[in-house]
Amino acid sequence: MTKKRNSYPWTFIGLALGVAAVVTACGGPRQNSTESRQMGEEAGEVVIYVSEDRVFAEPVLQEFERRMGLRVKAVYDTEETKSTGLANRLLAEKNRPQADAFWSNEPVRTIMLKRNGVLAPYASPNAAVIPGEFKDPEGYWTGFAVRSRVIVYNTKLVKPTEAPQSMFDLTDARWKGQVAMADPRFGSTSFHAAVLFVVLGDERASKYFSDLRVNDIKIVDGNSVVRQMVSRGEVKIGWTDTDDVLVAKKAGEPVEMVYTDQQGLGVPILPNMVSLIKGGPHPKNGQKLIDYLLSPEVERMLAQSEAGQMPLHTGVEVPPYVRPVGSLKPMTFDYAAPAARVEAVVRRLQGILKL
Amino acid sequence: MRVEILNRQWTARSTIGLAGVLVFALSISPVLYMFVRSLEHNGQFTLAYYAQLLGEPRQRRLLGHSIQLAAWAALAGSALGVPAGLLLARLPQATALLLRFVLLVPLLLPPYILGVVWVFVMGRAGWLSRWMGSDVASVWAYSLPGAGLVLGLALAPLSMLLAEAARRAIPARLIEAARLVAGPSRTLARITLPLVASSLAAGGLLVFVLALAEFGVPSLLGVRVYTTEVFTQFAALYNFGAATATAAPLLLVVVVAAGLARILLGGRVLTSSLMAEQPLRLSSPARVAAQSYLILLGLLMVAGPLLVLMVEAGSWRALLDALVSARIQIGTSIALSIIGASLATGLGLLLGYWRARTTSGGRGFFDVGMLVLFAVPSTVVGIGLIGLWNRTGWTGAFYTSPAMIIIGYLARYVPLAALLLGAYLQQLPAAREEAAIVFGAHWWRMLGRIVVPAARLGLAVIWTICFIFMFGELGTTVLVAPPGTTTLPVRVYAIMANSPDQRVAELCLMQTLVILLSLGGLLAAVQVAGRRQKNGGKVDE
Repeated sequence: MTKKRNSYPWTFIGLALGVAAVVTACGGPRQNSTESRQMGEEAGEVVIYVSEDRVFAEPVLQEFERRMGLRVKAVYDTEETKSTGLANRLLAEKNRPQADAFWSNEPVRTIMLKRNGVLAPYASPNAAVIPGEFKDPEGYWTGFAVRSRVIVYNTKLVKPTEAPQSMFDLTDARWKGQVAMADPRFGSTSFHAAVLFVVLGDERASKYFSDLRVNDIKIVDGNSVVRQMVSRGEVKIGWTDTDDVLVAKKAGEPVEMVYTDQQGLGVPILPNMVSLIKGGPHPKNGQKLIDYLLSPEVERMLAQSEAGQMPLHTGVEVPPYVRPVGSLKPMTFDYAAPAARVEAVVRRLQGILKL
Repeated sequence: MRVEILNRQWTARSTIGLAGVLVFALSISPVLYMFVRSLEHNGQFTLAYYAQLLGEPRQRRLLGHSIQLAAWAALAGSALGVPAGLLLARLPQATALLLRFVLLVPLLLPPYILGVVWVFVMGRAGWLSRWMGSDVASVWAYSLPGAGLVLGLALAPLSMLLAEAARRAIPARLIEAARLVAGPSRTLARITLPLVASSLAAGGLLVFVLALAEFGVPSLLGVRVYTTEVFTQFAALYNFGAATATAAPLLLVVVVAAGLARILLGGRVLTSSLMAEQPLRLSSPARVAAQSYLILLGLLMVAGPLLVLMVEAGSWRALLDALVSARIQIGTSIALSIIGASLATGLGLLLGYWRARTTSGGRGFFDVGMLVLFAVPSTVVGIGLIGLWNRTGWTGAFYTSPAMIIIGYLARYVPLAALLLGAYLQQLPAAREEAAIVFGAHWWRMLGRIVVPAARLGLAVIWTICFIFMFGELGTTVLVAPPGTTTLPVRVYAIMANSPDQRVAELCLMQTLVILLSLGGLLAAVQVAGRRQKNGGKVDE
């Protein structure tokens, strides 16, 4: 019988060292961002955190890679997921940022980050033609490719002539128990709620939400759930965003949308926003990426995607299902105002809607 | 004699000490970091966040909801798992092995997948409503008992395993003696149940604690509990201090539950061997009835949900496309989870060994501490890790690499591995280890030649548990994954947020298949390696 060598301790130690080697190799010889910045170098890459839906953002960033020869390292998330999102990560990384740019699909998080000193000003040459209300006067953020809040309705259950044309119609007893809305503490619905408090004032806005509660509004997990509920006929109407409805229509679902209050207050417009991160590892590449995202070409890509986002540049070719933003009556407000109020509004709505 | 094993050699003390330092650095320090943040506001010391918790009726209501949800889950998990476990213990090993493997499947899946299935069947426009012609079930489906039932279904295998282990631990002679003077039902009521009661209660408490810390299912079903409140503090209010403070009552309930478990078990172990003495076999008709019941349960808990996902997904082609398009993330998740599970099991072995063999009074503290660490919400751990690791120097090099995902895995799951291995190792007799030390064996040699072979089944099970948890980890990973590296759950969850039902079903089915196939592959690899080793041994001889 061959005497077996006692190899257990060495196997164990070897395994540990092997794992450590793999881990170290994963870390690789790359420099950390601060060292890179101190040496005045920028690798051929750019890091962007993206809260626009990955399915729409990824082709845009891949095109940038192809054109510029820069590698885009993206972290995707959507504020509708329950991961608490990229804004928290940017806040936590504030003292040693890892991202060069932040592409948000709604305004609140970007402006909160500006307030917390996470962003740096950058006036992109491509931002010059963007209308003034869609960019920060100090250059901390620039809007592009907008969506709108809309009322979605089920075409099998509601005739176009009967569909509510004003947000105030939703408090009518006729729609009792037939309206759905995403949780107004999160995502674009939190922006919408904060806008209403800014535009209507606290008292009227509180009464509006209180009336919605009396009318048995269904508060659900996200805008896509609202759209699904309306499409299935679980409720007849709901608040959501244009892209949710366009995706559903393309999938053949029986839904249509109303741009509300076109004779009154107007409709809330949600721009995508892009910002430079203060102290990011590749600031010049970050600026190049921002310039690209603010180009008419990117707005064309986003308009022609399923999301059907409305371009802010004039002369951008759009498919027939995308309504030009100029044809809408927008709700008028300074984007900084709802962003500044959103936390107070969330607290207030928790009480009103018993969230 | 136990003290001899640990105190006799400095290598034992220093190695276990080093493991303790690592666990402190990985798992404890992020929680402490966040705790300190919860005590300050604008650089000033404050207890305001904690005072707010006590003062707001809303917080008390949420805590009540959390406890109700966990209680429903424990009840449902025990109702489904305990009878299954008691019956499995009475079946022949081969049959029990197969049925046990099938009935374990719900535990292998992220609970939100079962939640999605629940919505497909019981939701407002689910199968049931369509079949009945009206919405008959949604009021209940989206309620605390409904969410509790889903979690109970997901966690029932834990109750089943503990019940089976406890039943197998009862010597057959006791039951035989009882059966001489009493019928089967009286034997069950007067002998079997009293002997397994503490294990059944411990299983219920384990399900209770896990359900308490669960976020995905209550969020999906719109049930407002404490975990969703922690999320709100982070995602809606961006208040790290308040969010961390919000987790405190939840952790307090975990401490109470852990204390209760300890009282119930009297410091005994939570697990025992499934390979123990074969209990009294069932008569032939009873065996057929038991097998039929367990097969029916398997259909309800495993085949049913898979069937629902397959019907909703519709097209195999789309599923294949989803698998191909996610191949990089699948590979990344498997590789990182294998490394993470191996490291967690290694660290868990060292700490668990200390827990099993120490004679100091720290065991209870260790158990409760590890359970509390395991229950800390993933976002709290993630933000804490960013604060500690995203710094200039070597920690920063880790932070910008995929190794950070492994660190996140270890931060969350080393406490679980240590807790389970401590319980498992305690039931192994220490006599051979003591003899080896007395005869001068080096501690490392003793660990490798005696402890590891004796505990190989437990090590394999706990490695698998770590792998499953790590493979499905989302909350911490999304915060610490370096740019350019994405794991499968992060990708799936981001896509699911805005996808139609069919796509959601495809993604859930894809994740289910990947988990089952990767575990099946790993099990097959282990078996092949085992056979080769066995054949190699024969040649040597």
